[in-house]
Formats: sequence, structure tokens, C-alpha cells
Amino acid sequence: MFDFIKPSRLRELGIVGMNERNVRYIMENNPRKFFPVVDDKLKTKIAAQKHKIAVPQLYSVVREQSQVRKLKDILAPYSEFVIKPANGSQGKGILVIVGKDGDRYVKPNGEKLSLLDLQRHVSNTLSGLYSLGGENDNAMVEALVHFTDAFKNFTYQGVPDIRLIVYKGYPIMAMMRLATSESDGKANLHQGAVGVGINLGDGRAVGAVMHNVTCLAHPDTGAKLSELVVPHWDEQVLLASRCYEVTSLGYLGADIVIDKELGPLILELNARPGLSIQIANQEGLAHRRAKIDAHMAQNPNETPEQRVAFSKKAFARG
Amino acid sequence: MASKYRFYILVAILAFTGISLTIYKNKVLHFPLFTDKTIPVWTVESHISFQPTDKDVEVSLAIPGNQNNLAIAKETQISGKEYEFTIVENVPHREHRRAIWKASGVEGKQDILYRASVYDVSQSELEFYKADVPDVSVEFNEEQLVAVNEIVKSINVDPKKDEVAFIDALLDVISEPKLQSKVTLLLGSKPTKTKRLELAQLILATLDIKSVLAKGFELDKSKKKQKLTAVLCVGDGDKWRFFTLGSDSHKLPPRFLFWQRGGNSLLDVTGGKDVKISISVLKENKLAGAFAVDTASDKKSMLVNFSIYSLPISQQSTFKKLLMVPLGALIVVLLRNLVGISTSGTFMPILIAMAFLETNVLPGIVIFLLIVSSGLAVRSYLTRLNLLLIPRISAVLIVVVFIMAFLSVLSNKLGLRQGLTITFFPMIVLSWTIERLCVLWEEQGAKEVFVRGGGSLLVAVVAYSVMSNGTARHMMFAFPELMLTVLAIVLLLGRYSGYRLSELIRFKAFDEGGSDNV
Ligand SMILES: Nc1ncnc2c1ncn2[C@@H]1O[C@H](COP(=O)(O)OP(=O)(O)O)[C@@H](O)[C@H]1O
Ligand SMILES: [Mg+2]
Repeated sequence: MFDFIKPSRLRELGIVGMNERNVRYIMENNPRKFFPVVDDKLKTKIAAQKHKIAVPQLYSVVREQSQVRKLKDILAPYSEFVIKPANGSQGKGILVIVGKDGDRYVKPNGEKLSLLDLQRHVSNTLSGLYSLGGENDNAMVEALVHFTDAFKNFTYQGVPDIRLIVYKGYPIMAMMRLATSESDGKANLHQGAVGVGINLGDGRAVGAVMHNVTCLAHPDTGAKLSELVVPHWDEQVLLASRCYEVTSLGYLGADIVIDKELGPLILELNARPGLSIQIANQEGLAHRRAKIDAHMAQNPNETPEQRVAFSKKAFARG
Repeated sequence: MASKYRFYILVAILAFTGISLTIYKNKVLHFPLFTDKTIPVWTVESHISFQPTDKDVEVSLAIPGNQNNLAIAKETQISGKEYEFTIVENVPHREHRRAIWKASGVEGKQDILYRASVYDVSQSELEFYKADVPDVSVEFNEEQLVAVNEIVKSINVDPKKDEVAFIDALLDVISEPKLQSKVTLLLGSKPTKTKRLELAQLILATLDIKSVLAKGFELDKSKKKQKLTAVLCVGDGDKWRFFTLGSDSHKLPPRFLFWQRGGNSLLDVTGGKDVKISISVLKENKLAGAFAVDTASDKKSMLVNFSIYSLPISQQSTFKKLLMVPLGALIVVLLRNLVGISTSGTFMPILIAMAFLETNVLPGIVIFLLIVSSGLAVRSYLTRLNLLLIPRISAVLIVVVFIMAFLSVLSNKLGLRQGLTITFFPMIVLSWTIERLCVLWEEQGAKEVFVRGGGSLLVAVVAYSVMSNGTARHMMFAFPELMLTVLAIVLLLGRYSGYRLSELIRFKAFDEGGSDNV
């Protein structure tokens, strides 16, 4: 009934499994004390800003229930913004407001919310409705990202983001996740989103998979995936690479979105990036890691620019 | 690098400690390895009574020692508090042991009890009588010597050529009901069996055939009055032949307990009269593990003092279950990290498995599915209320308890006894499980809920089958140090960075175009 791939074959291909990721990638490279910086989006943002890393601008933070009453004043200067829980995940509790209609706030789908709705949302956020362990949380108000149109044809609802994995500061692999109708507009590969491997050298698609099977066109839009090119590629790779200095995490996932005017922005960092990037790229991480380790032994303490130059050269494809 | 070695050394030490303690307890302290079987244990007791005649009295009783296939444990004695009690081991002939009571100024009838437990041991452990046979001093006078020579001559067997036949014939002569005059000269007219064998021993000694006179009995059923049989043991340290009057077999019954081996008398009482001794035997079947603890605590063994058997029985049964948790944890680690089954909540499967231990699997699964599915239905309604986490879980918890009470009453009405065991399900954990599965449903869809929920159930069933296994239960209970070994395995698995079985399917797509793909 099941068809297995031989472990020896996987090893030959350098595919990293869950156990190896946990032991050899996360435990060896990501000391626990550095986790809070990435697990808390507010801390991530503050640290990133300190290092002059481009992120959606932080407008304000609501930390206490007493501030909820002043929400109107807090939001007054902005006509569009995003409210999100600092400790949220999976998009929970993220409220996007794209405009104002008099006193009311407009969501992307046209639905209008009153100030009271927003206050309740923030209040819920503070008391931990959306945070992982149900602990008290902070609500961040940040600038709305105007997503680039470059990927318009490549996604069904949802916003495509670029995931770069950075190993000890060296970009090691990249992919893009495209929501499909099957994945219900979510960018989750095992729910049926399309994973597109991205050539680190030039930001072009190297292949795509859906449900672990190679696919050539987006199932909903029909766009040819081989034509997908990520704009501002060099800038993005550098941005991701510099996040190493921000977090000190040796195995780091950086989620990047592209704003029409501001260009690439770091949306989120992740200390436990998953392994499906290997499937999207049809390549394992282990050999690339070995190359980086070997390179680092010769060239310690490289600058982000040098690291990016190495990665782009070493891992370019086609 | 160094820390890596330290880790493996730690693991090795843990594993080795667990296993070697287990082997030690099994081999030396006789904890049964796989099952807690019952073993027969005989309590032998000798009761001595006498009337003191002197100011100072001394009682010296031959007592049994370890022998080929029987071991002595839990020796106790009961005597008046004036008595000073010692056991003398007759070095180098250790097999001859005597219990000695000394007292002065005792009055009235005296009762002294000596008691010991005897149990089977395997042949190899205790060596019977390897020591040299002590010489017996022969003190015949002229006249007696003549008689001895005549007896020897009257037997038509050369003792040098066929010792056994000679001794058989000699015993025949000595045990005849109507004794020849030369024998009466040596024995008197109405000798006891012991006296006769003593004579045989002396006669053999004149022919340079060494022997030991012993007394004992076969352990069998309980007996109020146990008679001792005298046995003449002929041979050397390696090979023994046993001669008893009225039997030609030269062998003894397998559980023949030597009460006295060597020495002049069974019992000597100096300073007393009306001496009586009676020996009684009580046979009981005891749990081997518990008995091992009993016997070993004599030896003040730490392992025993700190074993679970030393707890009150009521708490032992609690521990029996508790000790299975490490095995359950091991199963969870194996199935999650080696096989790659995903579960909801790391250790929820163990708790479910423990509930299964009370309910049995099939009713357990049915109850579990009923609670979880009705819980999920209620929880999905709560989603719409936008409740905070803690109130939300509390609401689920209340609903779970309600469902449990309802199922319990319902099944009772239907006459299903299983319904009552429902209370063994850990409701808090179930509430969390329901919460998690519900969130999973919202975020990742129903399929993932079935994968995780089914995974949890599968792991629980596997853990249950291990935790309910009689051998496993016994081993963890009798040898809790095996937990160290389990710990070592878990630690080792914590460093396992190889592929999971499930990943061989997950990454199957990579197989296309593989070089060794046919
Ligand atoms: N500033 C923003 N502007 C526009 N959309 C946003 C913004 N922040 C988040 N989002 C939307 O929410 C999604 C999840 O945001 P993210 O910060 O990755 O949180 P999570 O940890 O919940 O995944 C993004 O993929 C994006 O679609
Ligand atoms: Mg995200």
C-alpha cells in the first residue's frame, strides 16, 4: 500500500528529516534564549528596527486594557493599518483595515467595523484570545503593506510570501508559497498550497510542487509557474541574511513580503522553519549546509554582503 | 565533542546500572525475572523443651545449612530473655551448624524454638559439602576390634573393589532385626537406627572409608511431627553416596533437607533433664518476588530495603500502575520520533492508555470517541461565542464531565457495567485534547483532526498493549531500576537524528530519477 523511499537514497540526496532538523539544526544552532525575539512579533520588530531592517512600520502598541478606551485617539492618525497580536500565529487575530468610511473602519472584503468592534478585538487580543498558551498579549498596530502586483496571477486569494531559510547568516534555500482554492487561501503546503522553489541566484522559480507532486501551472489561475520571478531579489536575500545579526539564530526562517513602494519587508521571523522547502526545491538542505560549513571554516566572520555573494554563487541553479 | 562523549557515557551508565541491578536481583536475591510465580516455602521449626537441673544451662542444637538444592533463610529463634543465642558455623566443615543457647539461673520448664524458611534453589548455586570429610576417631577396645574384623570378614565383598556393595552388605548385617552376637557386642541389644549407622561409620573408618553421618527429612507437606532419617554419606567432596537403613537406592529424595550433617549429636542439653525435641514443617506457597524481599532483607540489602515491595500492599498496587508510565513514555517517543505518528498533545496517549487499563480497550475506545466527538460538537459552538482561553476550556471541561456523567448513567440503565469505568478517563486532559483538536479543525481542516486524533488513539492502544502486558508489569514492578534503562533509551532517542518512517513516504517524491531506482 505504501511506497517508501530508501533512507540511504534520502541521505544521498541530503534530505533533512524532522529529527535531524530538531537535533542538528535547531538545537545546535538556536539557543533557547534567543527564541523570544522571534516568537514575539513586537520584539522582532523592535530588534529589526534597531538593525535598520525594513519591516512594516510600527504605529503603536496597546499593552493594557486601560488603553483600549483611548483606541480612537491611537488610531486617529491612520486611515489604514493592521492590528495583530504580538504572540499570535497562523494568522489568528490579524485584523486588516484598508480604509475609513466616516467613523467606521473598512476591512479588505468591504465589511465595516465600528470602533466598538475594534475595541473588543483589541481587548480580546490583550487577554490572550489569539496567543498560543492563552497568556496575556500585546496588540500591535502597524502599517498596512501594499502588496506588489508582481504575483497577482500566481495566487488565489491570500498574499504570497517568500520564505528564506538562513543558515548561520547564509541564505541556504528559498521558496514561495502560493495559496490555492484547495488550500482555502492559506499558504500551507500540506493543505494544498503550491510550493515554488526559488533559485537563490536570481529569484526565478526552479520548480513547483503541489501535494508533493510536480506542477507546472497554478491550479486556479493557470499561470505558468516557471515564469514566476521574484522582484528585488538581491535586496531580499540581503535582508534575510542580515536577520542573522538581529536574532543570533543559526537556523532561521525569514518571511518576506514586497510592498509596492517600500520594497521587501520582513514580515515575520521563525526559529523553527519547516522542511517542506526541500520538497518545493526538490533538493535537500544537508549538502548546502555542508558547503556553508566548509566555506565558513575558511572564511569566518563574513559580512552579510559577503555571505549573500557566497550563497548566490554556490546555490545558483540552472 | 567532550560533552558528546559524556552524554554517551551517561547513557551507558544508566543502561548498565538498570540491567546489572536487575540481573543481580534476579540471580542473587532471587527476584523472579518474568512472572511473579509462587514458590513453595517450608517453614521448619524445632521445639525443644527441658527441665533445668543446674544453675547454668546450655542447649546446643544441630541446625540445617544451605545445601545443594535448598537454601535456608529467615532463621529466627524464640527463647526466654535470659538466653544468649549464637550460631556456630563449624569451620571448615561449614555444613555442620549448631545453634547454641546459654543461660544461667533459669527455672521451671524451658521452651526454645528454632525456626527457619527453606526454599528451592537451583543446583549450581550452593555446593554441597565440598570440604574434606572429617576423620572419625575410632575407639574400639580389643574385644570390639575382633568383633569388627569378624563382621568385615563375614561379608563376602572386598571393600577395596566394590565399596558400595560392601557397605550395603554391612548395613544389612547391622540392621538385621535379630542381631548376630558380634554385632550386639558392639551395639547393645536394642540399638537405634542412628546407633547402627554410627557403628557402620566406625567400621568403615577402620577400613579407611570416610563417611559423614547426617540426619534429615524430605520436605513435602506440612507435618506436625517430622521424623528424622539418619543417612550415612560416603564419598568425597565431589561425589556422594547416601546410605539409609532399609533402602538400597543410594540416592535421596530431591528435597531432602539435611538437618544435621556431621557432629556427634542432634541436640545436647547440659544442665537439664526431660529433654524433648520435636520438629514440625509448614509448607506455604509464597509470591517469589515478595519472598525474595523477605529473605534478602535478612542481608540488609539496600536494593531490597528500597524496593517497592517494602511499601504497604495498598500502595504497591498504585505503584504498579505508576511504574508503567515510563514504558508508555517510551512508546510515545518511539512512535513519534521513529515512526512519525503525530498525536494531539504529547503525553495524552499515555493517560488515555492508563484509562484503557481500567476500561479495557474496546469499551475504552468507544467511550473516548463518544466523549471527544460530543465535546468537539459543543466546542465548535463555543467558537462562535469568542470566549477567552481559560473560560473556554473550563466550559469544555464542564461539558466533558457532563457527558461522562450522562454516559455513565445511560450505560448503567442499559445494564452495561463498563459505563462506570468512564470516570477513569482524565477529564482535564480530554478537555485540552478537545480544545486542541477543535483549533486544529479550524486552522488545518478536518483531515488533520482525524490524522492527529487517530494517531493519538493508535499510540494509546499500542501503549496500552505494552502497559497491560503481564510480563512488562511484573518486570517494572520487581525491577524498578529498569526505569534507568528506559531513561537511557529515551535519552538516546533524544539524540536520534535519522529519518522517521513517515518521512520515507513524505519525501517519496524525491525518488523519481533516483540513480538506484529500478
Ligand atoms: N502589515 C501587514 N499588512 C498587510 N497584511 C498583513 C500585515 N501583517 C500581516 N498581514 C497578513 O497576515 C498574514 C499573517 O501575518 P504574520 O505576520 O505572518 O502572522 P502569523 O504569525 O500569524 O503568520 C500575512 O501573510 C499577511 O497576509
Ligand atoms: Mg506567517
